[in-house]
Amino acid sequence: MHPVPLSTTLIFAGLLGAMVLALALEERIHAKKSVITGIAAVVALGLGAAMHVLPFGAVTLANGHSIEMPVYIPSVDWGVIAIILGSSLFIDVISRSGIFSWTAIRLTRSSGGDPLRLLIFYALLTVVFSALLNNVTAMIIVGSLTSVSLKKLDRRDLLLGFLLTEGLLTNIGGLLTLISSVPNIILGHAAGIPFVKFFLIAGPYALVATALTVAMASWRFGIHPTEGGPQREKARALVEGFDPSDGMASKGFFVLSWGLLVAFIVGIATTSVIPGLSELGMGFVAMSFAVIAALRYKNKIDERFAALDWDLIFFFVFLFVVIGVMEHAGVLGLLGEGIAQLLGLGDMAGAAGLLVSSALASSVTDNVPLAAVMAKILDGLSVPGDSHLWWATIFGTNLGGNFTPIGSASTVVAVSIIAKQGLKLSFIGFVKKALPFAIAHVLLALAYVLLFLT
Amino acid sequence: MRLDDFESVFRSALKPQFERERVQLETVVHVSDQCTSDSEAEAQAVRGFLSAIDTGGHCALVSLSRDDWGSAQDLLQKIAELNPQLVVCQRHLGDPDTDLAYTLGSVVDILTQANEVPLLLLPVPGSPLLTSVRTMVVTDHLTQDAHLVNWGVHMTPDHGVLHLAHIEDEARFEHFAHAMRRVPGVDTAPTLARLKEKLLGMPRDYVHAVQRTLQQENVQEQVVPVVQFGEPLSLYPSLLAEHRVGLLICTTKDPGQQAMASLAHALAVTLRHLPLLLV
Repeated sequence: MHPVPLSTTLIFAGLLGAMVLALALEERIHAKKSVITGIAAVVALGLGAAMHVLPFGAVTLANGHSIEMPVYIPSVDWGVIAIILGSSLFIDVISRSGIFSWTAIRLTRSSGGDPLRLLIFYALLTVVFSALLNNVTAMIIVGSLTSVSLKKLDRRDLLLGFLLTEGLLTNIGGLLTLISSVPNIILGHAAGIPFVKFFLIAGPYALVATALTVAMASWRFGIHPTEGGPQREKARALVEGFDPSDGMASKGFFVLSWGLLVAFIVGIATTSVIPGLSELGMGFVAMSFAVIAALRYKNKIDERFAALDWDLIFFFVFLFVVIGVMEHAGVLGLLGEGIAQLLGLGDMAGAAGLLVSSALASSVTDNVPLAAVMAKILDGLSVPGDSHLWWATIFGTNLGGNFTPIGSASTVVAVSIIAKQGLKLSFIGFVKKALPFAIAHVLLALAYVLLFLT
Repeated sequence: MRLDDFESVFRSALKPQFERERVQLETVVHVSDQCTSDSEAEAQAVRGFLSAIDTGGHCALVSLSRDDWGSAQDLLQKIAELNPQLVVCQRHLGDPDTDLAYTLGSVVDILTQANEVPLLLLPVPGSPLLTSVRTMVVTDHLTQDAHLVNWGVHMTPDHGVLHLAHIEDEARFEHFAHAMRRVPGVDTAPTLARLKEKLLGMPRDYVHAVQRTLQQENVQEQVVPVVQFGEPLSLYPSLLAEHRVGLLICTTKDPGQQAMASLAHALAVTLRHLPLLLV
């Protein structure tokens, strides 16, 4: 890479800052993520060409051949895009079978309508769904069921506490596996962490953090068991009104979807150890399952394509383009110097600083650009894949979302559900209620990373 | 995946439940605008009708003849004092003309609205008060009105048939469909088909809940759903004939006072040869 003048680097840093700010104010400026990053990508490429920052020319492939392609194509991490696209389509198709709503309703019935048991079951459901699906889908499923069931139980007074707790838990569940959240995919992919190793390291933290969150929520929001036999019987009768099979498309499709989901998890988990598959990557596995599941809707797959979150997919593509330009403009190098200074504080203090600063940064803006930038910087600093610094960044980028309502996509969804249900919760109100939880999550992560992973 | 999609899934999964409430007839007031002897003959017919239905019950029938009450206000006061569970009377009670169409008479109108106690309207003179094992409950207005259905269960004799009817107004549906066909972006045909399916599915779910509960409580009645689209006022007479129904039960009280202003009143003035229970 040829040297770039500092003034040029600062211009591009300003553009990156403006994009991050616009993403933070997404709701205020009424613009979707993909549009914001799309504009940033177009401006960055135009500026990059005008200021001679971009390396135009042929790209050398792994086999030594050179190929002409637009400068922005190699910037995009197509492996990550394939994972997101494949798993989104796969999950959308199998969710039509009713497996997720069936599971959610079975758990609701098992709770007997008792608020504390309901909180525990919904907390587990949120964490598991966040781990298997994605944070936003998990929040949509559990949040909508919470609204319906608490209304039925005539316990709307607990709704805010439930929804807030679930919103916070999506980011705990998002830590559980390599494919649970986009920062995990980006950072885990860059560090080369295998699926099973990721789960074994993140699992104990997620378990303890979930238990702690439930205990705190029960205390803070006054969610206690139902007292008295008749009340308990009444609550039980009310939740018995839920019919788990109502959303089931057909029994065959339902069973097939369970089978496919289990196979999908096994496939993703074993990708790194199966020869051939490890070279093709998790994106290939996700796309393969998407194609198999799509057979169910083979003559109207366009409807399923339409249901995908194209805003999210284009957001990633444009974001990778922006990050690519920033790399050529020396912005990532500049940020890397700052990070290097932070890491220079020592093994423990450096990791702690990285975790806390990642958490604070992701609390006010989208954690995906942060993860993408950090992945490039840590890679550029030649941080080994098994370093605890990767984990400090993974924990920080995921948990920062719990500080504010705009910190992660799933907390934005939680706040949307809260507003839709006619409950009042301002930005400051959210921060006040969520802060003790978010601080507890970060302190727990600090202790975990410093005591067990350093 | 949209938030609304899953909310709809869970709302749909939440099935209605039927709460059984036992109706007990201890006191029944029979009101007549005839002299004591004619009133007593009518009271005998009512006694026979009720005893065939309420085989296990021992209700006291208090008969009020023309001499026992003056104005409608006076009648309401007398009924309140007697505290009955059911009031029985003729259409056009207290009116000089007993053969007017399109009305039940002012006293009956007041009894249906100002009085909380269900009212059993007798068929017009000349039509016999026959006991029947087949009862129909009109549930169109309040789909999940357990109170109404519980009266239906009580007024159906053991081993009788209780028809729970819900006629979805086709004209009203078409009115909304007409508007929906003019909204761009809505795939009209499948949307209307799903809407129709849900509109009929909800009352069917409720009937299933009634069937389940009665089965659990070992009630010896057959509950039959009659759920379809159509024009209620023209369809009910044919359904009553088709199912050989001997007693029709409608709701007449709701917070918006809509029930007695629409279907229940229209049925009550139309079906003059059938006993009607207005709950």
